[in-house]
Amino acid sequence: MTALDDDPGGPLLVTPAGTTVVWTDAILASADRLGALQVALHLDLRRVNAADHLGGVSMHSVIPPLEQARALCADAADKMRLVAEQYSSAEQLNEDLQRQLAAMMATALGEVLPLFAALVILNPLPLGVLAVGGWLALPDDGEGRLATLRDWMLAHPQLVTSPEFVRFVSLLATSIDDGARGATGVPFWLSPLFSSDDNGVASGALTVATLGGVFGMFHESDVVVERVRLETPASAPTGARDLLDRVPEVNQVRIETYEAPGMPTRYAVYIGPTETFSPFATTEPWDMTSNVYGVAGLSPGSLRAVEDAMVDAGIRSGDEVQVVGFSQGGLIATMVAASPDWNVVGAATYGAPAGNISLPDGVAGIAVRNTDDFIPALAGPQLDHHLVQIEREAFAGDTAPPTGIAAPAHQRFSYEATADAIDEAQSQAIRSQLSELERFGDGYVENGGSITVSTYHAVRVN
Amino acid sequence: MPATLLTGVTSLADTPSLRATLEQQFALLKPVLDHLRHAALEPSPMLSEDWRGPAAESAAIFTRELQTKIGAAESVIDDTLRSLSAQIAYLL
Repeated sequence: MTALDDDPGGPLLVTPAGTTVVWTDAILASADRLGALQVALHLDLRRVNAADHLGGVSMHSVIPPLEQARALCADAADKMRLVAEQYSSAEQLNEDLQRQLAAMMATALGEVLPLFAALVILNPLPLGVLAVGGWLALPDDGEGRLATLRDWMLAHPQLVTSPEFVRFVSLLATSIDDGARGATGVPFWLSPLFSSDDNGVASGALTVATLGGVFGMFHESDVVVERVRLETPASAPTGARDLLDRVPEVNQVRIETYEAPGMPTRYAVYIGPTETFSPFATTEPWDMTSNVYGVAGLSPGSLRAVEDAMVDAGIRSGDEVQVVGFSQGGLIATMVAASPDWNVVGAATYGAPAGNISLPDGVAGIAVRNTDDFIPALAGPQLDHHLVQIEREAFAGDTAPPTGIAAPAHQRFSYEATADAIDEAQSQAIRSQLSELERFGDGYVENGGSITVSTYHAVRVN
Repeated sequence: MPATLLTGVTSLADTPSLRATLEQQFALLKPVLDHLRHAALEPSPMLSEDWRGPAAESAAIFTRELQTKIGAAESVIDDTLRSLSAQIAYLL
């Protein structure tokens, strides 16, 4: 794990809950302050008008300068809102056009795939020579050519660490199903007719799972979960960074039980990130199989493990639950929050590929993504807007991402820096959600209660 | 001195009634002045290190304009309150 000495991240981008308008935290905070000042000046004007109606001294000279100051604030706040709305609309239009074009291209590519396969089958020798020749042309420094490729990728992290690459991945995620349709003979110009609620992300992931299954990949299995530790911490979490810091690794699930006399028992469930990136399932449920199954909307092993742990911790369907997760943990946290089996009232996710999952009303919290982290883009664009969406470029401007680390913008240290920036945010949209998340565990220890932490480890069986 | 001469705008008949009105006006205006003085000392609503280039210039222009207008309102209200104070004192 690498700590970042100086924060290389860009400004926070905020999409308040229930909207699709993207603001920077600075502009949103300015609009908040302007709004508050305008309201205060409006109240001042009401007092002045009330004084005027009493008779006595005339207030006619007082009203114009006050009204001018109020109007100036209102005008500036309106202009900020307009700029944010216009930027968001233009960006959305641009993305929609790119997505339609990508879908048509994928369908067209899918159409020629059978021809390509036939070419390979009918002319195996020249294509085989070409492939082997290309492979042998790679230098071998003693660890094999695959290691050469890996090392080259690690030395050039900027290739996969940019908002442009993230957009490419997002377009790819929503185009896989179009490619599959093209392969079955659907003409490319018909692809816009096959739109779905999630832009085909789930069916694309299902396609990947199915095709991978042909080669023995993405094999789901049963899971067993075991409580490995029980302890009592001192306090409930405060802030975005503290929430992230409590997300476990290795032992994949942490459940905090909040109990106090006269207060409802509540539970905070923290879910860890992917532990292995092999597409071949072993004993680790926090793997690529769970990622693909999760994005496909199926029942990944890690989700079943979390739900088993929740039952073991004594959580019943009506109990108030807050879920927190990083990476795959964020995906599973979102799936738990979306499930009618649980009463999730708060959620915080970091770098979660979960944009295609619809949450119910009544869930407070934040969904955090680095805009140069391609992992969340594997679930396509963010479609659900129940949570406040917070984005930030982890390596902004001229800052080069660190070498020797796979997907640096997805690493925990990058999200720690973003979480620190969130804790410093000034906009009401962010501050109010952080307050909601903090309130969840407030007062339990102070009222003579306790917080108990259970840590769980899950493995695949079969 | 008759009350009408003091206010210049009313023709209230009795001094206690006029004084009560002026005191009410004073009570209504004083919090406005306090608020405006507080607002004048507050950092600009647009204050941010994230503003860059033309946006930073616009924010600076807006801040100056807002300070001018709040200052003007503060000044007028201050004058009005001084006038009210003087008249209330006179009617005591």
